[in-house]
Amino acid sequence: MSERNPPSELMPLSERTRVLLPGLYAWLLTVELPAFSRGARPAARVTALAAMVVLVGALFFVGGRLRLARALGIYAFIGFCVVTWALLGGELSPLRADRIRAATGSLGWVLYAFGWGRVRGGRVPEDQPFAVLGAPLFARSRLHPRALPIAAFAVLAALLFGALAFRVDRPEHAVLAHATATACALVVLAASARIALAQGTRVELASGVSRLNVVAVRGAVLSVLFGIGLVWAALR
Amino acid sequence: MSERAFMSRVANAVNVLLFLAACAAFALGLYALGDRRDLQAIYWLIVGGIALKSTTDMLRPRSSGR
Repeated sequence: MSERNPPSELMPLSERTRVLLPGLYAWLLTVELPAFSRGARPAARVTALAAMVVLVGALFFVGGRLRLARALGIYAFIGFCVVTWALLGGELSPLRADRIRAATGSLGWVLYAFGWGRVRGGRVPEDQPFAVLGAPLFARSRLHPRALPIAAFAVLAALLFGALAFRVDRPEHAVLAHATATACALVVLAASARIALAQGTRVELASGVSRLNVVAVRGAVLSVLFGIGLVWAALR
Repeated sequence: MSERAFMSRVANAVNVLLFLAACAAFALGLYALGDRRDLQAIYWLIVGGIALKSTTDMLRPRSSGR
């Protein structure tokens, strides 16, 4: 297991690239461009440059001194980015932001998180003294063929929610929209996981009638809501 | 097909329909928020929440007492 995570300075270039490139990409789109735009405060440019310096500096310690690397590459880098955004103030207004750039920048931050998430020290769960060693355990059953489309649909829906939040151009409402989109994405993903696992599961679900009875009241509420919505739409 | 199997299929179909309806309602809510139609946004988000809650409640396993 330890071969998979060489705790040496000889960390391959691919590992370093995986740490550097997403951070650099997110920094370019969401920190550098607004900080070096016309009208930005000089202090914001200094902190933006400092963020890039600490990110690049972290690469020199990823192989050997992981704690220092994480302090620089995660805490210091994000700290400088946050200070830059705070100094930019109105420059970051959603009314001025390019939506495509903001969306791709968000994607860059996700990749940055995954990149650093992969980097860990020599300690892996299998090295723990209480870990049960032996041949890997195999799953007792396979996923139902319907499980994958359900999960894929939920992922697409979650991405759509995130994209729709970028349509909101009022600053206060934009924050609410992003929070709502994130919450909706999380609950949809959680529900889809349950639905996907329930397909062909060995745990026997209640009978069809019982399951329909469970949602009878809520179904009635939904019907009433749809009725109100139809009347509302007709009156407008 | 027995009646029990038929009702189980109906329940599965309702389950999937409710899930799709919840996703559509959430998307419509966020779309309405982008168009500055706040009341409609709240309406669709409530509909989505109820539909999604119904979806997950339908997946309860059979109780051992039956």
